[in-house]
Amino acid sequence: NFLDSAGHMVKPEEFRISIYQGGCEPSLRRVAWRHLLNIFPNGLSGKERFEYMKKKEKEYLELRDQWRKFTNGESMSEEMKFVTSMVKKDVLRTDRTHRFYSGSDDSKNLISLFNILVTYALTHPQTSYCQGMSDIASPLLVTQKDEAQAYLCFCATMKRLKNNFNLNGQAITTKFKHLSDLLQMHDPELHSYFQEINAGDLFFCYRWILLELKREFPFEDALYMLEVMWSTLPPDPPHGEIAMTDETFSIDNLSRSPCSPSFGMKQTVYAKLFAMRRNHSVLKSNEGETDAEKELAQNSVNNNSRIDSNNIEESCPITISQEYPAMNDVETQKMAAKSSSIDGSLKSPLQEIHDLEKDLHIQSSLDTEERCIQDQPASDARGRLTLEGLGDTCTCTDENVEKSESDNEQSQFEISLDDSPETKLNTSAKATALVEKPTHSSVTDHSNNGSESPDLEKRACDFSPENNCPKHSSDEWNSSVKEGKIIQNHETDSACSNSLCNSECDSYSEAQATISNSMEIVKSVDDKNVGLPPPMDFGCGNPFLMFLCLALLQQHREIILQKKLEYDEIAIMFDKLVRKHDVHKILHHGRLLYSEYLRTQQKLKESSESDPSV
Amino acid sequence: MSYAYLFKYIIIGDTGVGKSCLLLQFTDKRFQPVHDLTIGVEFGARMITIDGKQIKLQIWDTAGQESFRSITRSYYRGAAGALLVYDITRRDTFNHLTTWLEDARQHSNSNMVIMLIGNKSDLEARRDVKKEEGEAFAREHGLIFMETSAKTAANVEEAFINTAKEIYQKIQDGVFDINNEANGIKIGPQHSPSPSLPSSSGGGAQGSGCC
Repeated sequence: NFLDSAGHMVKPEEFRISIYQGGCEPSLRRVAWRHLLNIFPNGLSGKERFEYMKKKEKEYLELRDQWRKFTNGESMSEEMKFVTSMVKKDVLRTDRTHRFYSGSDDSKNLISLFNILVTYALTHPQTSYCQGMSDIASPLLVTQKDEAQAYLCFCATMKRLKNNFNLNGQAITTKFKHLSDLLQMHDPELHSYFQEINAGDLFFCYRWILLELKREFPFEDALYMLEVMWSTLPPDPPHGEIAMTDETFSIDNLSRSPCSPSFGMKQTVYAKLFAMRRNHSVLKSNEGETDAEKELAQNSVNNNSRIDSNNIEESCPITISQEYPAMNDVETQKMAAKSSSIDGSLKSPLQEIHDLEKDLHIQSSLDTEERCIQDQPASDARGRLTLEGLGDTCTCTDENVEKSESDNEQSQFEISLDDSPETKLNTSAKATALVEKPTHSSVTDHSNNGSESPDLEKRACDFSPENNCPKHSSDEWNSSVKEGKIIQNHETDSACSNSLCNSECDSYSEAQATISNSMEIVKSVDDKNVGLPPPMDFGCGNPFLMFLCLALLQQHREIILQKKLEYDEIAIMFDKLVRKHDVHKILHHGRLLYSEYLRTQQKLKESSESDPSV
Repeated sequence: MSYAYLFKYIIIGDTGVGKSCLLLQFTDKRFQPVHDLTIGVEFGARMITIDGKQIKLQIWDTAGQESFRSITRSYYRGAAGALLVYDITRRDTFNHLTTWLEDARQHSNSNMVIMLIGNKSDLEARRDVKKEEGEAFAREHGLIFMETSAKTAANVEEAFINTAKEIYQKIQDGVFDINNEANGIKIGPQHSPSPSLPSSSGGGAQGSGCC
């Protein structure tokens, strides 16, 4: 239960963790995304949210109808002409292969997408319209199936992403820099190869960064990837109501002036571009270029982080502590590859979970959408959390598996890692049925000693904390888990993490073993992550995206290195992979990298706390 | 694959003039009416033969994202050829040529070969810019000119290949310093396949005699 009986969102962190681990049942997406994207102020009940949406919808329609009055004939301002013609061109080539946007060029959904983008551009003169925005708005409209609600989601998304579209390019430059640094730390070989072939700029990742990977996966998979990524961002509810316009915007801009104040610059994009380039060359001729740029980039990081720094620590939604050997030696690469392929093959059990969820939902005879989330069965949600949390803490290291060799199923797991995915599925298919990631299965076994083949439904119930964790261990565990805990800075989430931990292991000794193992790993892992900025800065506040990009690069590292691909060949390869990447592989890999990073961050934080001189 | 030279091209021009379609027609010989709008830069490559020499064209197709262009000032610098594209059915795209050209000239090397392309020549009924206007603009600014149709493939090969011929000629004339990769030209691996044949790296220059 993420909502209380009146529909207040009372467990935003747990809500996010649950989505992080397994995404969202597609039928719940519509509502879940509104929460994930922070369109609601804090503390609304279900009924209040309903009223709020009604009110915002009305506001949207007023804004939209305001500019639509002028779009016929000569009364259109230059700004409107520019915006509408740009948007129209792009809407006609955005996700047209998706059934939602297929059909004629003037179909209803295309017009909705057009309206959203034009309304946004005209009411946000500071940002206006830039290419790429249609890709960002498209999945929101597909999911919300309603123009006004999609507009709210778009405003909320753009609040975070508008810097990507700044003409000065600072945010993007910073993200490229961070990605490059990340690559250097995690995969020096690939990084230096890129340098060697003058591909160090990583420009072939531009689309990844600008659109936050939206185009890299098949559409439905992209929805899953997006929600998982959003779940790693701190809850950031609006104070008061979500802003639907720029601060500088007034409705008079639309009705009266031929041009909003800031549009003078924007209207001739090319002139602007030109002027900007000139500035750059002046800078350069003054030899200040590099430093000035660095400073700019630095400032942009700071600016961005300032926005988020208040919130980021509060949320720290990810309480996992996933263990995984370093990724840059051949053996572990292989292992990771295997586990990824298992990941893929587990897709259908995952589907079973979803089906199960569905069944359970049907049982609850509640009618409004809001309540769907509210009534997501506790046991089920807990089950997923538990499994994932467990897996993240207790598995993935050889030592770990070996240390619990007394357990029969453990050795099966060990074998299965070295064997084909099928072996694994055969030996412990049932046990893994509830988890998305195969590496978690050993933990599933841990926590369910004795229950060899429980059916799914029973299992779902088993995972309520009461059934799952012996009370006697919880206190000891609570104190010990601190070390294993990832980034838990928010006062309230100690409860959340404790309950996670409670259900994670069924004996204190196992917990200890896990922790001591994880400590060792951390030491070796630290080197790779230790120079990275903290989460509120890294990737301009979206570190998870950086790790997904790294995962994408690393998935293809062997081809790049073995075939010695040139810059253009790499870029062409990635262009051809548009909408073709395997979301399960990439998310799996990304989660592993991300939790390593979070663990390092936590260690750094702790060590700086215990030794203020550091 | 081995090649004697690699030429780097860029394609520039207003959004929606058919830059990506030209590239796709040239590299894949197909036309895709519904095409994702280009984000950032997309690449294409194709091997052509000029004067019996294998030449790899590496083509950078950029989008109008201003945020991207602002971080890629080096984009023009390393190009040997540029296709400057407008849409013959939209006069505004023709009117913007001066800006594009100025921008390109300012940031590229002075020898960059620029081909002006009036695209969508299949849409004769909707023509908004006369062919003569394109020719006049090209003459005035010292560009090569062609009207193309990415849809019917008319003149598409020619546009890319004639640009390459011009670059090749400039190499023969010694205008391009082929050892400076910033000029958008790279000598291919087949010119220096192994350290035992160092003299063959001058093959390109020797080959100039035959023209």
